[in-house]
Amino acid sequence: MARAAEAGEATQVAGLLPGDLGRIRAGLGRAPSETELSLFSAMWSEHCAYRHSRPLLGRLPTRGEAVAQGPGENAGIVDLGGGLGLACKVESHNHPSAVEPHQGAATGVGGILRDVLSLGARPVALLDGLGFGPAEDAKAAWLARGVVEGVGAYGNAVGVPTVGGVTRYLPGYAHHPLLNAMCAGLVALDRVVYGRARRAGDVLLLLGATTGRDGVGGASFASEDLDADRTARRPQVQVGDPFAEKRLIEATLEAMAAGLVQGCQDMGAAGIVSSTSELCHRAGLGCEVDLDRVPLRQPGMAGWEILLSESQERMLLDVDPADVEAVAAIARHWSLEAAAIGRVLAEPVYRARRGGEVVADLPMALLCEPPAASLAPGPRPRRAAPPPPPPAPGEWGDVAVAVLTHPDVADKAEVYERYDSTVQAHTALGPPSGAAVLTLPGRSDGVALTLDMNPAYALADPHAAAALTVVEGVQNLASVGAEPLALTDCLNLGDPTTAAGAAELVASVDGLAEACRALGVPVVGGNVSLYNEGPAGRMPPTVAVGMVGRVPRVEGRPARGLIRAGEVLLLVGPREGEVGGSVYARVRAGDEGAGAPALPDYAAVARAAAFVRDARRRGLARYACDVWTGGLLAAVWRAAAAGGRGAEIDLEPMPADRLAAVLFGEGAGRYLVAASPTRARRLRERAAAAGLELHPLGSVRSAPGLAVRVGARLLFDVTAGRRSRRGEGRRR
Amino acid sequence: MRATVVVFPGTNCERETAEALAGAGFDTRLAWHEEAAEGADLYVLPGGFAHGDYLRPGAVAARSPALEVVRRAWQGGAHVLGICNGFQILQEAGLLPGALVANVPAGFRSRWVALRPRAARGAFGRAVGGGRLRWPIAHGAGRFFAPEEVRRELWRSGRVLATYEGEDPNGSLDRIAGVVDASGRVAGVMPHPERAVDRRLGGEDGRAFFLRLREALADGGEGDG
Repeated sequence: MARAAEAGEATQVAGLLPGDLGRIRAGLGRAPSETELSLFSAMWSEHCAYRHSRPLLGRLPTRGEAVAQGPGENAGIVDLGGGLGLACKVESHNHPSAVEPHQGAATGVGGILRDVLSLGARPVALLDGLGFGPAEDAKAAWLARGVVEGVGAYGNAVGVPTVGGVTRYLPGYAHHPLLNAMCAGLVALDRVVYGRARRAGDVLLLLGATTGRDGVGGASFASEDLDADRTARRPQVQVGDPFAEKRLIEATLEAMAAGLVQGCQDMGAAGIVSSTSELCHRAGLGCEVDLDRVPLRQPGMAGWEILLSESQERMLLDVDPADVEAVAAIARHWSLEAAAIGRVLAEPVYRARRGGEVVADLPMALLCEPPAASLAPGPRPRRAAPPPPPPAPGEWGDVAVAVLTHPDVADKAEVYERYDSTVQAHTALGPPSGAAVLTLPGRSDGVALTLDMNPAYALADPHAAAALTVVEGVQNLASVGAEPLALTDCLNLGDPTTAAGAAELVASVDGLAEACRALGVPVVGGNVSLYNEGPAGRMPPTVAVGMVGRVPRVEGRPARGLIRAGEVLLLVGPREGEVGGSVYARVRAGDEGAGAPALPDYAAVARAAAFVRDARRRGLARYACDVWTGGLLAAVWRAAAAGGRGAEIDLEPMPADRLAAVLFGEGAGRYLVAASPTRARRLRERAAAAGLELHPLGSVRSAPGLAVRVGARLLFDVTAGRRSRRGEGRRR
Repeated sequence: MRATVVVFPGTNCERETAEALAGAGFDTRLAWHEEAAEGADLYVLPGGFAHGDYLRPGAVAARSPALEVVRRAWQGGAHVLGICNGFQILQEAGLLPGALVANVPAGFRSRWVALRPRAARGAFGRAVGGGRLRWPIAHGAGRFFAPEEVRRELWRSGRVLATYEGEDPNGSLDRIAGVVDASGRVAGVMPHPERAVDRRLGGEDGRAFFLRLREALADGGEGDG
């Protein structure tokens, strides 16, 4: 046993909370060794153990007809019927992306791919949630460029299409960007491999890349606020190799298909110690790891460095001793390392050896189950804001251009065209679209995926923002004819030990739970990233929601915009939206003074979603999208541009403050629908029968641009010429 | 008609390419690069990042034993098609003229593009047909580059397979999207026909390409004239 740690005498260790050292000593009945202490520092960190968030996550509903695997595994699994499952998960990589954006983002993608892979699923789609600062800020622009390049470089090379995502711009992301990556994979439900060891005596096999010093201490790093001197953190950022990942995916799936893998755990945060201990602890077993058997990238690594290394492109497999050679042969074919680094033990202990010496010997439960931390939340955050004064009569066109050129609304081709969205040849509907649609092999039905977030709302009301993001997901899915089956979430929040940070955490979880229950969408897994704070303060509290839906029949290609001149435009749902938190309010009153939308009427949301879903499935609506960021104006503008057409809409004469709510309002329950005149009549009849509001808006025209009339008066006509005045009014 | 899809470490379009070929009636097999053998009528080098694009896209694969197999098969009368990274490999191997360099404007581009067939000779010319095509592109180094005299010769001898129509996606000289070699039996295209084989995915022009290719090979590899 190594000597008792000097550090053990200290009162604070990275990743640990005050009082933890005493708890560890009491649990062990002795002082931990230096190596052991470093293991606790990783395994008891917020990043690995969810100590502040775990008690709250029980509030989320996790049961549902389509849930084949809920939270607790490396990813959730949704039952698609016919024995097929879709594994999915979203995860953050904000801290690394703030330090080294390209590698931080790339390894974020690599990590989420392995989460899905570990269940035996072949990754079929990626989505990304990005948050950046204003383009005028040189550092923010550098971070944004690096993150987008990193996502693309990795996803493109491994051959998994990036089919959708969301990018939002707020000053709070300027020097601490948001990178949430979501992956979905297909797996036969009777071939799922779980993250639990099978039985004592099995071999723990490390498959993939060699182990180096990169990322050592990453878990505890991601559980701290980032101080100003971030370059000193570079060694804690991992480096990705998508070429190795591609081979790792193929090798892992090949070994699984041959029935050689009894359990599997991806190696993410806290590398070997986390994966080996989690795999065995889930089964109530223990393990012994021989660190001398780990193939190393560099000489002279200490035991704790090997245990904590976050070198990428590695998987941990539970393999029957008789099958080790067969797995090694597969690894050789793919030029990967396969090393038997340990064994599963019946005794629930975690033991590691280095140079023949035991360097760690810990009760498994003590290592893997740190006590939850208590929260002391302040009052529920909700900042009301008065609506901005309506534009003056001659000002509407300028305000419209300001909304349309706002970076949250403007086309994101410079992001999504950097990602291969068509590889694997199953993307029926890719970017730009509210929801992506994938075909399924040999089937006529399909899967719809969406990843959403509304950080601008969260500045004023994180509860409403989280709830509305679930609503947005439901609406995006309905727009392509899909009903939601489940969701995966990623909470990106600040320091939970502060009253404000804790209040935002509680509000976000409560908002999420409320909407999930009200709309019947279970949560199958997710990720919590706390301590998202930089020198400039807390990152905007951001809840990313990745939702999975099923399209009963993918027929033809779903229209991606307004394509037929003369077709009728309809607004489903309330005529007026919410001005609070809207891009319009942000443009007029600033991000901090924009407020947030009210909480939705969930029953109305469900009714409207059912109506739009049905309209798509019956072919009554050629196109549908939800009215969200940028309001009705942006919805019509985007749909027209995507289809290569223009539109003319006519609003009833009404007071100017109500006109702003019609045109720019956001919030729940509204959709834009395009249909032929005949079908539009049928939609109106059906809406009347369903007790739903449906308002005629205008029609699709051949000439590009968007004309908005109020009765006989032309309010404005935004044409391509007008649009070229890019940047004007973009920021106040 | 037997088709072999050669798979290198880092290749990532092999599955859909094999499916597209099988869907068009080819007797298709995937061959790991170390196990590729002669005997097929068509060799397809699919898209991806063979050998991780180390050094240059296609550079390592072009110098691998698999390319010697492909070259011998071609000398024996087989046809060879490179798609995206496969096109890059065939150029690096000297089987196709020119070079594929970094896009202008720089950066990876993924989108559907329109293509105009240019009545090239041989089976591949017949396969692209005469009408406008829509296939997806997804590449960062797809800018066709060749000295002017080489391009003049390509045009003169009917070896430009297709050009980009509409918005220029990558700055290719003469907007060249695909070429064939002097024998007419080796072709390279940057866009992905295998991703355009299902109406639900946005188009079937790629399916038509593979169907006509099989017919042309069945007719002895001759073009329309």
